[in-house]
Amino acid sequence: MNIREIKNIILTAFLGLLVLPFSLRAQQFSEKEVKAAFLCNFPLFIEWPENSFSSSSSPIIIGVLNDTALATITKRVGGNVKISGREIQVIQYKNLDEVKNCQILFIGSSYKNNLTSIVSKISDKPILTVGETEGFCKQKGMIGFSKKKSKFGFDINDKIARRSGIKISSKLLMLATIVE
Amino acid sequence: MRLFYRKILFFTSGIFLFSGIFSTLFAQDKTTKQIFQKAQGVFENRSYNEALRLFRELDSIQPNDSYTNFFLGLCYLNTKTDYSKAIQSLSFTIKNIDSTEKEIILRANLNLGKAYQLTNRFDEAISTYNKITANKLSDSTDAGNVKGEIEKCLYAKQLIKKPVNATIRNLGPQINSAFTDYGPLITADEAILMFTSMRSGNVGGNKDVYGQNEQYIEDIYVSQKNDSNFWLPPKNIGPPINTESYDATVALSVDGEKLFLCRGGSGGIFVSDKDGINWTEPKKLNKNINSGNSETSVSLSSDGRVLYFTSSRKGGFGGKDIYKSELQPNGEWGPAENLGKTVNTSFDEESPFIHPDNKILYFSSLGHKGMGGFDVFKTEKVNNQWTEPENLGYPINTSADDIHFILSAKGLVGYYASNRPGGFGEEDIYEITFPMANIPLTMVRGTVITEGKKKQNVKIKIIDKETNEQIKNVYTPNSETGKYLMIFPPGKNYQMLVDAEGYLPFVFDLYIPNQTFFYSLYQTIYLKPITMFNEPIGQGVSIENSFSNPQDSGLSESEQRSRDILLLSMVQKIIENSDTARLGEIENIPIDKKDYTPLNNLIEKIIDFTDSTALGHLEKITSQGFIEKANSNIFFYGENKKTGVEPFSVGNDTIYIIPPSVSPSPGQNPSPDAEKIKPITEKIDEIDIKTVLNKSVPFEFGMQTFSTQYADTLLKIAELLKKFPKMKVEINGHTDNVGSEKNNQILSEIRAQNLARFFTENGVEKSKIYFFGKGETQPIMTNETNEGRAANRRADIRITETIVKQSVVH
Repeated sequence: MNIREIKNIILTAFLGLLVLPFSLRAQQFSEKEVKAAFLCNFPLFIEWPENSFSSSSSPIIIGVLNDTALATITKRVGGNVKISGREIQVIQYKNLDEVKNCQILFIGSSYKNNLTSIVSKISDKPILTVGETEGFCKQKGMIGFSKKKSKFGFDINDKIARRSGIKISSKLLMLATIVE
Repeated sequence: MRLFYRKILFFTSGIFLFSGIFSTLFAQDKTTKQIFQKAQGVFENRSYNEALRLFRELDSIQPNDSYTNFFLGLCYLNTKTDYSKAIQSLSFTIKNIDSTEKEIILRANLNLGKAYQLTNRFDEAISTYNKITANKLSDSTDAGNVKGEIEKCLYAKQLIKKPVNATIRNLGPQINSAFTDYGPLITADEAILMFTSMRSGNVGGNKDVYGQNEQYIEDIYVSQKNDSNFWLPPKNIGPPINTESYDATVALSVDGEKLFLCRGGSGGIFVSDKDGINWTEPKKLNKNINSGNSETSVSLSSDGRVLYFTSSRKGGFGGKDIYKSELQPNGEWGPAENLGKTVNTSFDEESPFIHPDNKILYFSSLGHKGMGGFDVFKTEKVNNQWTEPENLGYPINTSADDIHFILSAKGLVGYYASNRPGGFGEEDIYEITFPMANIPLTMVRGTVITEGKKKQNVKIKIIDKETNEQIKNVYTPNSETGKYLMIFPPGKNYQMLVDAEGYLPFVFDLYIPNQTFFYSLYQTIYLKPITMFNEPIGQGVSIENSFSNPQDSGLSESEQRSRDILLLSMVQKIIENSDTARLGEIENIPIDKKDYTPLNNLIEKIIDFTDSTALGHLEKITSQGFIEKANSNIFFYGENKKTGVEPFSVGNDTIYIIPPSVSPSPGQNPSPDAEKIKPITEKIDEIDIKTVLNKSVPFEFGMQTFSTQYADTLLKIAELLKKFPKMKVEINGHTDNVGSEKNNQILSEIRAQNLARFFTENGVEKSKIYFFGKGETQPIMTNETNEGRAANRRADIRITETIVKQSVVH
């Protein structure tokens, strides 16, 4: 032992403060899981025009453009969900041309540079566009997930949604930051 | 390296004796005679692909020749190109060749049996082998082989009837080449795959003239997994690992920071350490490991203390045996110890792999009861004894060589090499997925981040709190990335001693939960020097622990399902109640996966009232053990003071630590009678830390320094500290929530620092001052009003005194 050596002095002064005991009970949700849960919950708070579904039993289709991980988790989370008699079906798209009859379209962050053109291509269809890139709603997306001060939230561009015939519940609007 | 322990799969030994033979059919024809002689020469050089081409050419010119068919059969087998054609050709030879060609008939039958065996036609294989015995075709050596092969066929039939539940997948052309690919190694986080290959692109570019099929001298290649879980194209790891000679993977430490390799020539086992992103020059292990005989594979236990290895040295049970060596206090490997006759046989044992649980040893063997070729076995250490090795079964094992088995820490994925039929040529690397694994290990992955320094020299020692022994060799986080990885058995308490160059060592508790499934913990250790007027005066340490993302947590399907349902219903409730408070917290809501009810009720309450009181209640519960994220910033002076240190014993060493000076229970009433402490006499019963004084100093908006009007009060506090040697001061800087979190954190640290400096300038010893920056995390009033924000911009001063209760010993 060698007291003189600075290396050999261990400071435990802050032990009590530093480390909280951790237990195995906690499970936190990942960002993608939370996003998936929102995607699966949106249909409860969205009204699509009548012609949006081919029949009264046809499923609610959530399209995921270029985000494999989110598509997988959404499939899992929405697996057994039924909303007013409609099942949730998750379809993964590799490019915009594959997008056809979906009710919700999640646009992956890889499209952040040409968002406006993508959104305008489907603006004539009643598709709720959801994204996660910064300023998604400013670029005419309808719902944009956001993170402010590490807190989860989302923006809504209600004007654009209305133009496509999509009605968003006031409950959802109250939660969001409204972007015009 | 491959050459040393390559089992001769086919009965080609002795084939060279036939170099003089040629079919009389060719005697009259110059062209066919030339081709036949050339083909035989190529065959003898074991360039079976080229030999196959030549014999096929010959077969097209002059079909139905028994000799040509004999060689064709062997070529089909050795190139793995067509087993049914091999069977066809060899059968033709056996049927049509002159009965005086005894040697050829024997070889043809042996190889025909092998071809049947490899294609799982065991009954035909057995009858072929039986024919050899019945017709007394073989000498005694081959008779022994034949008997062994029949036993293997019978056992294979048995194993195939009861396949084990595992999925085998060839790693595909992304990893495997037309050449020999073997020796897979994987880091415990399954992000990096290393392996040995005889493909082109090796260092030096030389071909392996001693091996078969004109492959290249083996080198080590490395591949990384991309985000979508695909292996990226492998790259040659280059020098100093790869040389112009043979370089082969044999083992990787669990943190991926130590690579063991086998080198050709007068080589043996070498080890290289990772220095940042580079590998250091490999060093040869000492003579306890490298005896000068054939040492070809090793495996390092996850605690780094035991090395298992194979050696053909004298004193074993025959062939290569598995030995172990323990790490000595001087850092060298100790004397080798044979694992004994339960594990080792008179045949070769090869490629041991000790699982990170340090209990189960996997290895390949030619001697234990198997299906043919090398099979993979496992043995478990129970009461310090190895259990009878158990064959991993079909489809993991086949009649071909199955070797170099490794298993992920979670026990879900294994990798190994095999030369079974199919694949991309020669040996290929395969992946095994096990359906159910229940390995209750905890994997700690972490990063040390040192501010302002690129290279860092950090050591992490783990102390077992029960035995108070340093349980491991020292973990060294990667000097470039600061990353480290450790694996622990469940249900134990440890202390982690982090020793970074230029910083004081510090220690903290590490509790490994007593879970029953595989568990991941992620840590970040931040080290930050504190400077005042460019002079280093102290250090900052902060630690963040967070638990695995759910994909990693090993939840069962039903557990996952109930988790998803909970999340869905929580999100629904949040939207229904437009609850912005919950929205912001959603990711961090802790849940008890066994029982969600209390938490659900609480969340419902919060949603119902949408008030901060309930939210506070939730936070309180979570801080009692639900929430896993601890984040605190600690600052202290780094003066080398000897006064007031206390002994702290670790194993045989006694180190001196500074005793706690911050009370674990704040909020006690100030004690005015500090001067009443009696001097310490004999026996110390209890040490108590009391809060003497609490004082808050306000700061103007954005200001780093306090207003001069408080100087008088602060001077008085300084006097108090000087007067009473047992008193210490703790300063916590705070801000309001205006501006970014990061800037507020810095501002709060500067506020605390400035007060600390005021005290030192007024004669208070540095060692009595502790200061902390809390940023905007601890408001005492709402940040919604001007008044509230003003109250939150503050530094809290707390004077504590250590009271020692003692009893006088008579």
